[in-house]
Amino acid sequence: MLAALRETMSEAPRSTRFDDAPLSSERESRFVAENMRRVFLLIYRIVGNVADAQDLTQEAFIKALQRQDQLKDLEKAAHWLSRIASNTAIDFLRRSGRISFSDLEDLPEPLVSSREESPEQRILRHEHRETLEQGLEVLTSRERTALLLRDVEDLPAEEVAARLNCSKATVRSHIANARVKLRRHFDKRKA
Amino acid sequence: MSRHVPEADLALYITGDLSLWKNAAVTVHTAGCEACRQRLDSYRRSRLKLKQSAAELPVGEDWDRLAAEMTANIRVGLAAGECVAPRRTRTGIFVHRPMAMWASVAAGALVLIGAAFWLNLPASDADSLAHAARILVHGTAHTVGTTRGATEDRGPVVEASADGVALRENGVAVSIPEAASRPVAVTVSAPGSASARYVDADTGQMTITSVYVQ
Repeated sequence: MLAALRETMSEAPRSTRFDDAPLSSERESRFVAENMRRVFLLIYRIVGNVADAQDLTQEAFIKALQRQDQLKDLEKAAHWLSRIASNTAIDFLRRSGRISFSDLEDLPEPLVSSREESPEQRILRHEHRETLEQGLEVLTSRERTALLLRDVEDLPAEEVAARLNCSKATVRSHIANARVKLRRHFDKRKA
Repeated sequence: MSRHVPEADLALYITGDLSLWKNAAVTVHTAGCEACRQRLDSYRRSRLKLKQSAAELPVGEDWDRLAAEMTANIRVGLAAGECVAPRRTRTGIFVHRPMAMWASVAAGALVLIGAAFWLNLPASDADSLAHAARILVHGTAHTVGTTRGATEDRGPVVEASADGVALRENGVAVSIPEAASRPVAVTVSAPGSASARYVDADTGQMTITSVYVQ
């Protein structure tokens, strides 16, 4: 019976065999699982809505896994993936030429609460998120992208400038403007 | 420096993004100016709030559902990519590149282990593998004879056939039918997935159907 199974599989054309299908590698699956949330949130904060962020996250991972032969050092894989993700989001903004934020009133009611927390804590967390999303809305797309790459991804200013394809002075200007606007927004909300 | 530090300079100072000269000037000034020190703290708090809130999911989103959808779509995207431009060789950090000698030694060891495994396989597992082999050989999901209790339920089973791909468990089946097409290839692989490619005889359109059990 084993011989019959071997014979059958050896007869199958190589291009249709799924024993070497994508994500069949355990390490690839683990790579996706470990980095998915971080990549999704980065892209979401840049583009501003869940549907686009979902599509772009998928696109980023597919690009990364198709180009994995370009990566030789596993320790740099997360950083390399972040670069692909942010470039994918930035390219999307360039192509669309607009920023789209979901209308907060249209967002669905929470389906699942992932943590055990009191209603007051949930409301507070909701308010913080809403404050942040509204604060990011007042920034231009380049200011928002520069701020997220510098303050959330902790990239040095030189790296941010490379990703945005601009000078270090321009990036500093974007970051300064973004921080000033965001701080004013937070102070206004607190007042 | 003027009476107080400009807002932009304070904003950049918190992460050391000012030039050396300006950085030193702000350090000296804020050491003696309470108002600028408070504004500096305000920028630091704002940055911390951004980092903390940026890690939160959008309101009302179920991460498990979102992640499962994206993972599935990534699989489909990679499979479609393979279809258009199959990779000639798999290289990269996720694939081992053993030396040729050790590769042949490992292959020989695997054959021996596989043979020992097959000979000691429990009856129910042997039946599962035999059923998968029958699908490959006959291209149908119908069981050809039964051996050693093969009719009892053994958890989720994925089957691919000329009629489509089906997931069966506890007597209930969910299937993705494929009609008016002829199958090109039907494969079943462990641990729990089935894929089939169908070609429409009239239009030549290829459809890939994959079902994964997790």
